[in-house]
Formats: sequence, structure tokens, C-alpha cells
Amino acid sequence: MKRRGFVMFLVVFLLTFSLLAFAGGQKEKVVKIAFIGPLTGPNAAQGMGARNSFELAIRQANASGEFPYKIEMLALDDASDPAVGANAANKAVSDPQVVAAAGHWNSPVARATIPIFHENGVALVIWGAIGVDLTDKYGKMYPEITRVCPKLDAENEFLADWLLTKQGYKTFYIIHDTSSYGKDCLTFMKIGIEKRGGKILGIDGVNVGEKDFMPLLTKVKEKNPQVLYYGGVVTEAALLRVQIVKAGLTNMLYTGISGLADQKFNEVAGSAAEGTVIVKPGDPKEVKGWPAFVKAYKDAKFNEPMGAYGQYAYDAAGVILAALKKVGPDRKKLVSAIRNIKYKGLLGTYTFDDTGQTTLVSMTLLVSQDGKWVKWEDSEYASGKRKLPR
Amino acid sequence: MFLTFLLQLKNSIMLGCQYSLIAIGFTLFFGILNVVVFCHGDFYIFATFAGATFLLIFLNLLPGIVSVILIAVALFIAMVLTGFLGVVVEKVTIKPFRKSNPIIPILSTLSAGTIIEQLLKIFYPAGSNPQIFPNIIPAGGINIGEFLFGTNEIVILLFTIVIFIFMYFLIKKTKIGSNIVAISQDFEAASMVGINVDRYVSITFFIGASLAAIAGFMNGIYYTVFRYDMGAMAGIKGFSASVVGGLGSVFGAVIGGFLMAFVETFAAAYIPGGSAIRDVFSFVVVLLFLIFRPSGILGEKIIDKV
Amino acid sequence: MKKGKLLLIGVFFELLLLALIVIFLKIDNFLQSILIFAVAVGIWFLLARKTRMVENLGMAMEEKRKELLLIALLMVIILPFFFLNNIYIIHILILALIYAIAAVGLDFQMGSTGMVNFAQGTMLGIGAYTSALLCTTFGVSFWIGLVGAIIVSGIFGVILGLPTLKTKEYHLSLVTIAFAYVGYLLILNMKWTGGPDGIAGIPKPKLFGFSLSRSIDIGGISIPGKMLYFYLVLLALVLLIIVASRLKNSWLGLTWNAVRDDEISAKCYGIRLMPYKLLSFVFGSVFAGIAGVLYAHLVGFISTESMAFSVDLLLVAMVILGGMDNIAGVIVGAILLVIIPEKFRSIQDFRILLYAVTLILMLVFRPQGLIPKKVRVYRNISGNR
Repeated sequence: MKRRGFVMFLVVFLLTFSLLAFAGGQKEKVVKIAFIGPLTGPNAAQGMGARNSFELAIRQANASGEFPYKIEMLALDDASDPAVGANAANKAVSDPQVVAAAGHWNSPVARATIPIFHENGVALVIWGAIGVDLTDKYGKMYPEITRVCPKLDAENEFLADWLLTKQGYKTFYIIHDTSSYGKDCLTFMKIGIEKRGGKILGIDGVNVGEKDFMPLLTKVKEKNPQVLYYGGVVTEAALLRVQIVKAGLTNMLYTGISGLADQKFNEVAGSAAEGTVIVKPGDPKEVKGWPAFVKAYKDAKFNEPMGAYGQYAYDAAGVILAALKKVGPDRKKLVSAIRNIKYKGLLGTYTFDDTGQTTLVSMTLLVSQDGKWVKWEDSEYASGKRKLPR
Repeated sequence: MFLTFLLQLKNSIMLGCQYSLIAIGFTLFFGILNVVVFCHGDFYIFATFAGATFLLIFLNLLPGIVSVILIAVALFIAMVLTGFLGVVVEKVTIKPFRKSNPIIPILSTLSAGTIIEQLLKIFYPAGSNPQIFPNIIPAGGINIGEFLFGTNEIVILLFTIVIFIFMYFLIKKTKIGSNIVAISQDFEAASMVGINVDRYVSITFFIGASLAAIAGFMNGIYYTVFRYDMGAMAGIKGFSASVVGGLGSVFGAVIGGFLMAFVETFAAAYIPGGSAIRDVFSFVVVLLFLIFRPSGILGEKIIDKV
Repeated sequence: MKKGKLLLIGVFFELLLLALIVIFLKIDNFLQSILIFAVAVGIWFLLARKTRMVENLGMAMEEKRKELLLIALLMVIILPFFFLNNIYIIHILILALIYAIAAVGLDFQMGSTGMVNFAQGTMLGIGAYTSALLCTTFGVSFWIGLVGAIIVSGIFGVILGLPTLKTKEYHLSLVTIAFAYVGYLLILNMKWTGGPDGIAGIPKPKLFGFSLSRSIDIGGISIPGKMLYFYLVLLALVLLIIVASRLKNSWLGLTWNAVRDDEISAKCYGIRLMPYKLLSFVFGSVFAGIAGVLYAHLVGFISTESMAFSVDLLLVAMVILGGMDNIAGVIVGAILLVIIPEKFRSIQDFRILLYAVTLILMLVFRPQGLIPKKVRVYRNISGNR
């Protein structure tokens, strides 16, 4: 009896050690680039689209045969949670094969991981987080940090300019979600409006996950603003849009920035979406490589659409790969190579200023027309066929 | 000003209808088994998904049929499905723990809720994205001066009143109701006098879950946009409402639901910066009730029982 | 059975566990993780059977308790040396220890006194925020931040504990849920807490003049700063375990158990419920506060995500999984629930689902937890049983 128990233990023991040996196998010249983004959680749609675009760029690089080693993507999930993101960043920098990283859609996650990348001297190219301080503050201090997407203040500035200077709207109401993103939207939109002499009739915050906006909109109705600006993301934006119609606020313009720039908004808000004006960074349809990219993405048969930030993830990969081609798989050399790069990507030519922010900034104004985002210049609203509410 | 006040009152009543229906479920479950079913909010969102799915199917297959019948059938299917879900959840996560520490069913039902939520997210097409509830009720409504009463609001309000009356008769006038009350008062004695306790527990869970289904369906009609993770908060609000009203009292749950909705709506509307922290106000009300009147508004009987 | 042989069996068992843990942490492949996991479950099932081997092991645990605990501690001390070049795993290990501290604190309420508490994660956040605010705005050291956090979380423990005088069971659970949400929303919406941006740049603690953020060289081996942090957290955990087991084995623990088992009869025996329930909340909250401080200074960043309701639930799950009212069990539960999800991150969407299913299975088939509590042993004053 006793012996049988011992034999069982021995078997188990041997099994585990054989597994250890098994684990130590496979050696091949591989260079890894880490991708971190919200692959699960509330922003998974954005994260997966970016991940796929990133993977597409890596596949194309491997297929091109320009690299003497195999490049792999190490996709890590930050779940939009700074703590999980910090784990992921630690995992990335712990892997000696990882030479550089691209990361984050959420600015708070980036704030948690930036010190980790800095301490370990690994370059981080931010593909989707648009908090202003990421480059203005951290990018200035740490050479490891660069960003390929525009900052949030640029988007708001552009929108405020269009609304006030070009369209002549005067009175505004700002609703923002209480996330870091929403709060920054409020700050910069407020500056943009007040600078141009617009009047803000009221400001209110809502929590992410809130669905009942009727009390707030009833209050807005009493104030009767010309424009309602929402600083937040798709789900709440669509809920808000539907309830605006329900509350009878039909003569008010609804507007926002890139947080709304997703086809999902039009689908979910349905007919209520009509006439929503947003601003979105980048002007992909003008770029030569765009149709090829769209086609390649389609051919790769990913399960998820590329989303609003897929293009930036693709270019983030491009920036890292171009630097990799130049200096080889060396973390330290890559840091400065990425900062000083001049790379012709999907959206234009990337260079970085002394805060690591890309100098490539272009904005597109979109309007929701018949359930689609249409470029403002091409829309029936610009031609005068339809009229924006005022 | 007065018009705005009236509109806000209407807003709070619309929200209160949903909270009350969820709270009734909590109170029924607590009454019969002395458990709090923490996945009740997930029944609610499950019903929104089920309702939306069947409405979409019907709208595609039978475009010509009168919409009232379509809505009724879709609602009925959602209620039955959610009801059975409730029965299954009780069998798996509550029945094994009738005799154990009350902490255990809290955790098992929480896990069940997580499972429902995750299944919706993973297996419903594009489940992690916000979903749309088909817009079936014609727009417009009654305008009394500036006061707009939308068609969907009228439908929800009337329907809720009908359900309340139905629940009253079910509990006061039918055998099912009296048996449920008997089990609530004394579980063991009820089984001794020959009531098939397990059957009535299942019936209660079916009723409670289908009430959540009605609330979920209303959620779809009223807001039209929903997502898999919106159940948890609705559940916690419903639980709070049932506690404020008095756990175990159906009428108390209704009052509690409307009270919670009233506090939230008016905090969002009239307190500067209140909409971001509207839940703080409702939870503070709950805390005050728990500290100064833990039995709730109408809940003395249950506490005496212990 | 000879005493030496008993010790040998115990050490052998501990070595096996160590080997399993090291292998599980080393591999980075989903299938292999599953295999190791299955092996661990197999061993656990073997232990659940009443074979002679198991009986001997149980005897070894009884007789050679002190020696075996010491050896186990030694093994934990050498554990990070297996991962010198992988600070990620050390990071995860530290997180596991930090959550273990908070879970041991939660056990004062859930295990000892039988009160469910969904606000332990919030307490962790309060401790973390206190220290983070003190360190970043006033520039005080880690140690003063720690003291401040202990005081503040203790105060909040009293505040949370006060409504328990009138409520129990489900009402009490709602009190803690409401407290958790109110705390979360207030911190998220106030300016001086950094709001949604959180607080960044929380300094690493300094120990005898050198910072724990840099690696140091000892005899040619570069020891990462994270490893020193690991030992700091381990030290805290060991001290707090000693405090917790002393408390639980004292008259205080006995009183808590009496309150848990039957409140009314405890009252009849002249136990005043209020101070004891309050004490259980205060101790629990202070533990959570300490865990929060260690967490904040480890990650260097704190935001409301770290005190979301999911964290509260996670801590409750740790206590239940490991075994209520048993310190060893709770620690095992905490370590498992930190490490295993991290390993299974590759299955992403299914992770949370699996998690919930496992928990339900656990509750149905082994509600007492992985390591159930032992029957309290009463000793008379002379020390004989």
C-alpha cells in the first residue's frame, strides 16, 4: 500500500521533469516585437482591430524577406486596466527576444507602463492612447517613448475651430465621461470654445457604463444650446444620441471627436445618428497605399474589423520595422533609431519631435449621413442639400 | 421650470418601472429561500438579448405581421427562456447550498452571473460590441403642451401597471401565490403539510426571472442600445431597491424601485455635477436605510421571522 | 513512525510543490500550462484520498510543524533566484503575495466572524491612495506613507464596520457593496485624488539608503530591484501571518468564531458583539491598507481600476477557494488566483468564463475550500493537550 503511493508520486515527479525538459526545447533565430492593447474588456473592439493590423505589418515584413531572422509578434492584453497593463509590460521587457514594443489605447494604462519601459530601456511606440501628457510630459523625459497618433488637444482644437469660426455656432453644452479620456476632452474643448468666444451653457460628467441620460438631457433641453459636444466613446455616445431624439432635442447639433469614429456608432444609434459631426485624425483615403492596405487586411481574413486605430497600429509596426532594418535587433540602438526615424508609412511621412510626438498631423471632418461616416466635403450637408441643425 | 420638473418625474418613473420589476424578483427569491440571487441582473440583460434576437428574426421572416403581435410573441419567448434560465440557475447554484453558510450562495450566484455574461459576450455574434434593439414601437406620442409622452413610454408604463396588478392577484388570490407565501413563512412546515416545495421554488424562480425578462425587454424598447455587461449594475440597483423596500415584501420592492429611480434622476438633474455621481446618492440612501431602518420600508415581517 | 522519516516525507512533499511551482512559472506555453495544472490537480486528488502516505504526511505536518514551516519559508526565499532574468515572473509573485496579505485580512471578517465583505478591494485602494498621495504631494518616505495608510484604512475600517451593528448576512453584503461603489465613484470624481488619471510617479521605497528600483550587483550576479521588493513584501506577509495567527488563536479569535457560529447565543454568553465585529473590520482593513501601499509602490501608479468591484470579488473568491478561517488556505487561494489567470492570459475571452465555472464547481464539490480549516485545538495552561 505504502509502496504504491510512493510509485505514484515518483511517476508524477518524473512526468513534471520530463515536461520541464520539453519546455526547454525549440531554439531558432527569432526577434519579437511586443504589441500591447485592450484585447479583452470594454475596448476590445479597438484593441483587436489594432492587433490585427499590427500582425498584418509583421506578416508582410516576414514575407518580404528583408530580414535575416523571423519576426514574431508578442501580443499582450492590457484589458484597459493599468494593473494588467503593467503586468503585460513587465512580461514584454522580461522576454530577451523582445526588442521593442507598441502599445495602448488607454492613456492611464500607458501612464502605468511607461516607467517600466523606461527602466528597462525598451522603446515604446504608442499607437492609440491620445492623452496629451504621454508625450508632452513623459516623452520629453524618456527617449524610449514615441507616439504615431495625434494628441487629443489637436482634435478638439480642430473641431472647435470648425464649429465656431467656420460654422458660427455660439452656445455649447459639454457632456463627457468620467474616464481620463473624457476629462481631457472636456479640458481641451473648453479651451477651444472659450478662446473663440463661444458660450458654454453647462458641463456634466457621466460614468462609463451609464445608460440613462434622460435626466441630463431634460436639463440640457431647458438650457437649449446649439451644440452638444460629447467627450467619450461609442456605446455611451450612441445611447446619448438615441435619447437626444427621444427627449425631443432635434434642433441641436451633436458632435464629438475620434472616440465616436467607429462605424458601430452609426449601426447602433440607427436613424438617430443622422447629422452627427465628428473629427477624426488621419485622412487615409487621400493616401496612395490605402486601398492596398484595406485589401491586404481583408485578404488576411481577420475576425474583427480594423477599427479607427488599425491604421496607426500598422504604422507603429512600420516605424519599428524600419528602425529594426536600420540598426538590427538591439534594444538600445532601436530607442534612438525610432526617435530619429524618417519613415514613409500608410498615412504619410513620420518624424518625431523632441517629445516623441509625431509631426504628422492631419484631420478629417466626418458627418453621419444615411448610416455612414461621410467626409464633410463630400457630404450633402456641405453642398447644402441637407442642413445641420442649429 | 415646472415643465422640466414634470419631465424629470416622468424620467424617474420610466427608470423606476425597470428597477421595481427587477426588485420584485429579488424579494420573491429572498422570501421563499432566504437567498439573494446575485445573477438576477444577468437574467435581465439575457432577456434583452433574447428579445432583440427574436424580434430581429421575426422582422426578417414575417415583415407583414402586425407589430403588436410580434412584440408580444418575442416578449413571451424571452420570458419563457429567461424563466427557464432562472430555474436552471436555482437548481445548479442555490439548491446544493440550502443548508450551508449564506456566503456560499452569494458567491455561486455571482459566478453564475459571470458565466451568463461571458457566454453572451463570447457566443452572441459580435457580443462584445454594443447591440441594437429593433425599433418596433412607432415614434411620436402624445404632446400635452410642451410635455412629450412618447409611445414607448406609454406602452412601458401601462404594461408595468398590468404586471403589478397581475402580481397582486397571483400572490393574494391564487393557490400558487398562497403556497409561495406559505413556503416563505416556514419552509419546513410547508413541506410537512404536503406542499411540493421544490416545485414551488422552481415556479418562483420562473416568475422572478421572467419579471426580470420584462424589465430587460423594456430596457431594449426604452434605450434601444445595450451591451452584455449592463446587467451587473442593474442587478445591484434592483437588489438595493428590494432592500430599501424591505426584502420579502413585493409591494415594498415596487416602492423601493421607484424611490431609487427618483433619487438617481433628481440627483442627476438638480445637483450641480450630480450626473457623474448619481449612483453615490442612491447608494448613500441605501446605506442610510441599512443603518437606520435595516428592515426597509415595508419589511418588518421578515425580520421578525428570524 | 520515526520522527526523522516524518520530516523527510514532509520535505519531499514541499520539494515536489516547489518543483511544480517553478515549472509552472517557467513555461510559457498554453498546452504545457494545462498539463502542469492537470498534474497539480492530480496530486491534490491523491492527497484527498486517505492512503497511508497521506496520513503520514498529515502526521508530519502535525509533529514537525515548525521545521516544515521554516523549510517552506526557505523555499519561498530561494524562489526568485530561479527567475533572475525574468522580472515579469518576480512581479507576478510579488502581486500574489500582496493579494495574499489582503485576503488574509479579509478572512478576519469572512472566515473568523462570518461576515461577507465586498469592500476589501476598496480598502486596498484607500491604503494605496493614502500612501501615494502622501508620497507624491508631500514627498514623505515610503515608511511614513505606510504608517499614514495604516491609520487611514483603520479609520475607514471603523466606518465600514459601524453599520454591521444593525445588519447581517445579505444586508451586510449590501452595506459593503454600497461602500465599495461610493468609494470608487468618489475617488474617480474628486480632483485631489487625480480623478481618472490616477496618481503616477509613486517612488520606490528606500531601504538602508538604497532604492529598491535599481538592481544591485553581488558577487557578479545582478539582483534586480524587484527581487529586493519581493523580500520586503515577503517580510510583511510573514509578519502579518504571525499577527493573524496569534489573533485567531487568542481569545479574540475564539470570540469571533462564537459570533460567527451563533450570534444570539454569543450574546447570551455576555459577548458584546459591537467591539468584536468592529475589531474584525479594523484588522481586515489595516491588512488591506498595507497590501495597498505595497501595491502602489510596486506598480508606481495607482488609479481607480485597481479598486474596482472586480478586485473586491477577486479577494472574496480567494478566501472561498483557499478555505475560510484558515490562513494557509487563504494564502494558497490568493497565490493560485493571481498566478493561474496570468498564465492563461492567452485564452483571453474564455479566461473569465473558465474562472467562474471553476468557482462554481469548487463550491459544489468542495465548499470548504482547497485547504479546509482544522478543528480548533484547545490546550491547557501547562501546554499539554
